[in-house]
Amino acid sequence: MVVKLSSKSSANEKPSVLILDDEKKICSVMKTFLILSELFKNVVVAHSVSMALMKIGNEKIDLVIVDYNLPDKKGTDFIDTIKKTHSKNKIHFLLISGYLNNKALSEIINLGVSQVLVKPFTRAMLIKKVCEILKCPVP
Amino acid sequence: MNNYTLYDTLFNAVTVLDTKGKILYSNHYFSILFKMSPRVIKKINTIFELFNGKGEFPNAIFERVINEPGSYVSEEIELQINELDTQCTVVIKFTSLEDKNILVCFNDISIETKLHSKYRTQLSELKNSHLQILQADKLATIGELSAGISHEISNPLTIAAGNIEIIEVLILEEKLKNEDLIKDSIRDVVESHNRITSIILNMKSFLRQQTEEEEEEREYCNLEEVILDSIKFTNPSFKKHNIKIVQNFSKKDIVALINRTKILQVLVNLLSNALDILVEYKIKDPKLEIEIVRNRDDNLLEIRVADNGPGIPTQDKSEIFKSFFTTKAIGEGTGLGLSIATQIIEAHQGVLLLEKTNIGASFLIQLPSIEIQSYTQSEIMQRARTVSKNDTIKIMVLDNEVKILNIFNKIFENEGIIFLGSANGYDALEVLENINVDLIITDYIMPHLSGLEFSKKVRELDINCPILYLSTESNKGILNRDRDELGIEGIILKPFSKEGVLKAIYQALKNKKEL
Repeated sequence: MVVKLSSKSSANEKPSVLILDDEKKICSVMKTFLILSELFKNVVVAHSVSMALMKIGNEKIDLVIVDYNLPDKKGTDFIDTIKKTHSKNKIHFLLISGYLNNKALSEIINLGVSQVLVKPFTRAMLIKKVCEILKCPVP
Repeated sequence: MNNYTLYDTLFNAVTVLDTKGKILYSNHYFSILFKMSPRVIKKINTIFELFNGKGEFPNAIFERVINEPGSYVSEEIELQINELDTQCTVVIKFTSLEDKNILVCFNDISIETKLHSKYRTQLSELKNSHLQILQADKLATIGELSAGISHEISNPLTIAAGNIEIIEVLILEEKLKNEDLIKDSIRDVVESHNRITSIILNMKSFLRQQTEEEEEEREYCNLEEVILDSIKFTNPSFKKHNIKIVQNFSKKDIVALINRTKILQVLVNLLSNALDILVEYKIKDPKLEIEIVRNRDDNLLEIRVADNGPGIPTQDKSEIFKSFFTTKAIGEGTGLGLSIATQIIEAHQGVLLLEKTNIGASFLIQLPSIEIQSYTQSEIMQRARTVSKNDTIKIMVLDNEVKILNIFNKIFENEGIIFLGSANGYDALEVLENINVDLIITDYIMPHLSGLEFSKKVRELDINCPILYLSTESNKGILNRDRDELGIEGIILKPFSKEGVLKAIYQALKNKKEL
């Protein structure tokens, strides 16, 4: 599969994804789905914002799937931080949430995050969203 | 007949009967009441004939006034004078006269009865709307917390759904040999299911509208558990806004006699108020402290809910407990929360106060200790049930398990026994210094103070009532050891039946009397 993601990645390299959610079991379900999709080179998991920041610093991440409700920060704050500090690399974001009100939604739109996935979701829904973001065909 | 002409001047309907019920005399108002002319009345032989088809004549009282001369008043009697008229209600007074005849006075109380029944319907309507307001407030609270709750439900739902898909994949790809993976997934599904169920059950029990009887119900509860339940409700919202909840209590040993659902409603209300204010003012390091204190000096249980928000402005301090006072925008708060909370706490003979603090707002709930609460509660119950019984028995039961206290509460309810429950030996001793009881039942194995130590201290106080131990089969021997030295009358073995308990109690009281 050929996916072109950023100027740095070579044409035939698969992207890497980071999952950030404090709920460990959701992470493992998503990780399983993403591995099964065979879309990614690496599927990395973080349970806290600090852990996620560290992992993004250590390896090249193309897509971050982040929960809106995080214990120490809001998902949107995290996205904001990453956009400021890693502005050189084009990182895509997918925000997931169990509940969104208008205020949260406008906040998300202002951040330039166009894709939101509402919990509970199925495997197909997750993969479809991911493919839309990465602009690749659904496997 | 002229003897009776004085009655002509009366404003009430009056008639004089002989002992056979014959109408000897009737005044002007009598004919007005029965809507008959004096001429027609004269044609009627007896009062029984007059009443025929109009209402029930109080024969028993009539006979009584003949046999035992005096003055007697009937109950309310409904009269249907004729088909066109509406019913009227009268009370009839019978008085024996010196000439052996009977003076019968009618008092028309139709207006009073109508007012009374009107007042009663209005009162019941008011009660109804009160219940509806309570319910509306609970619904409003849940509405405010819905974001947090739906997040709390969608997480386990995602996990469950995800794991089912994983199992499906494993089956399709015939990776069934990978048993551990499947087992893990199934376990996750079950766990998630349990999490959702517990959230829903909790919400259901909170939202269920209580009937009037249930409103009066009290049960023994661990106060810590009720508080933890209230935190469970609000925690998702607190977590979302990074508000710390400091729980200044640990051991599950403070027991209260309360209506669980209602106290839960008060606590959830106080917590969500604090949440709103901390979020609105964007307080740095927001936190909420909950504390339980047993105030031994005043026999009170105190729950303190304090936040580090902006506090309540001086001019609002006297207003916040009033109905419809709210600082929230229109549509966001009902303004009923604190006034309902006050009503609930007052129904528990307690007080809800705003404390003076330097930072934030601190609410204090004061409830009477269980010993006092159970005493007044069962005293009121017994009064309502048995008016004549003056030999009511007062029994104290000491057990640190709320379940056991609740069972005893049920057993004694219909037995004319006044019940003092206690969950802590030291508190029980304090109460025993002031209140006399006829019998004490104490659990044998308890934290703080064991049954043995407690009994010793009771005897030191010079209290000589019989004591029964409550224990299991394996501890049967303790009875022989303590019987003589501490005057332990007997032992109730767990599990026990109502009959067994009552038998042991009456036996112990009988032995005491014979001494």
